[in-house]
Amino acid sequence: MSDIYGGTHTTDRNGRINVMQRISLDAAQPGMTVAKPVMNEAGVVLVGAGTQLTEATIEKLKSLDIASIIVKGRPIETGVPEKPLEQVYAELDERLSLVAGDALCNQIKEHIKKDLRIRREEGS
Amino acid sequence: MDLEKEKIRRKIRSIKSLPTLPAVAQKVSKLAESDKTSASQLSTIISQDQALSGRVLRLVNSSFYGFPGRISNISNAILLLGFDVVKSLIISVSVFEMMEKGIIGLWEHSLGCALAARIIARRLKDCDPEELSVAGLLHDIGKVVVSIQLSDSYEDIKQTIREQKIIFYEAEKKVLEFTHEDIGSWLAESWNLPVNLLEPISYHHQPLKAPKAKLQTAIVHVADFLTRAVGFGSGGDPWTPPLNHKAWERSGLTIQTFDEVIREFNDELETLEARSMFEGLSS
Repeated sequence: MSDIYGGTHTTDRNGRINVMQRISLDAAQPGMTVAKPVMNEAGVVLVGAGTQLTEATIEKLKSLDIASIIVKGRPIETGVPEKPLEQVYAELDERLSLVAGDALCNQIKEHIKKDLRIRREEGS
Repeated sequence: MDLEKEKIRRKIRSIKSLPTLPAVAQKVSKLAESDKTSASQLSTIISQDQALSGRVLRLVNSSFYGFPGRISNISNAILLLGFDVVKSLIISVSVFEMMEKGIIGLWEHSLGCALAARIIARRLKDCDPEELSVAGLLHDIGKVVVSIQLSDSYEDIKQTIREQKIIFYEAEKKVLEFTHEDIGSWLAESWNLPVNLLEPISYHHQPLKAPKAKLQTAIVHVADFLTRAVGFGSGGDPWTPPLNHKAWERSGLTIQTFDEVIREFNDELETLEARSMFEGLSS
C-alpha cells in the first residue's frame, strides 16, 4: 500500500496479502468487491463482505445515505502524500522517549519499526 | 483504604454530579441481578431504546468487534457475547456519548486498546477475547470524567504534562491527588461491573496490584502500552506509559511472537472506522 490513510490490507491464512481501501460511495463502480460489511445506522448489514457491486446496489446504498465503503484492492489513487518513513520512526521514538531506558520497550519499538517498513515495501 | 476512597468520593461529589447511566441501562442492571430474568426479557428492555440498541449493534457488527455483520438484534448479541458484555457495551456507549468531540482522541485510544486486548486474549486459552475487548474499551472511563466534570483541574493536568514532561497518570497524582483509575474504579463499582472489568479499570497502570483479575489487568496494561506506542488516538499526553515486564510476561507475549501481534494490530487499526463510529455515537 502506498499510504497509511487511504489503503490497507490483511493477510489471509496462506499469508497472501489482501489489499483493501475505503472509498467514497460516489467513487464506487460496478464490479468492485466489498471487503467489509456495509452497515446502516442501526447496525444492520446492507451488503455483506465479498459482494460484487452492481449499479443497482450502489444506487440503493446512495438512497440509504451511506457515505463510504471498504472495497477490495486499491481502485482509487488517493494522492495523499506519504509521510517519509524516517519521520514515522522519529514520531515513534518520541512517543517512547520516556521509556527509552527500558530494554524491552526498545525491542518492542524495533519490531514496530520492522512492521512499518514491511508495510511500505509491500505497498511499493 | 476506605478513608482514602471516601476522600476521593467527597472531592468528586463536591464539584459536580457524576455521570448517571441512561434509564435503560439502570433498569437492565437491576434485572440482571435476578436469576429469574431471561435473555429475552432483557433484550426487550434494551430494544425499547432504539438509539441505544442501534449503537450497540453497530459496535458489535463493526470490524472492531469481530462479529462483522453477524448480529442482527440485541437478543442475538446477548446469546453470542453474554449478558455482561452487552451490558458493558451499553455502559461504554453511554459514557462515551458524554464526551466532547474535542476528546475524540480518547475514544480512538479506547477502541485501539480494545482491539489490542482482544488480539492478545485470542492467543490465550483461558481468556475471553470479547470480555477483554470491553475491558480495553472501558479502561480509561475515569479520564472521561476528569475531562468533563473536573474541567479546571483538567487544564492544570495538561499544563503539568507539558511543563514537567510526565504522563497523564503522574500529572493527575500531582494535581488531583487521585487518578482516573480511582474514579474509574468507583464508577465501575457503582455500576456493578464484574471483577474482570472492574480490575483492569482500577489497576491498568499498576497491573500487579490487581487482586483477582490478574491476567485481564495485565493484558489491558500491555494493550494500553501498544496502542500508545503505535500512536493511535490520544490518551491525553504524547507518551507511552512505562511497561511492566511482569505484566508483559503474564499476557503471554514474547518478543518472538510480537511480530504477528503487531502485524494483526496494525491491519485492524487501518480499517477501523473510529471516527465514523464516534459520529454515530454522538448523533
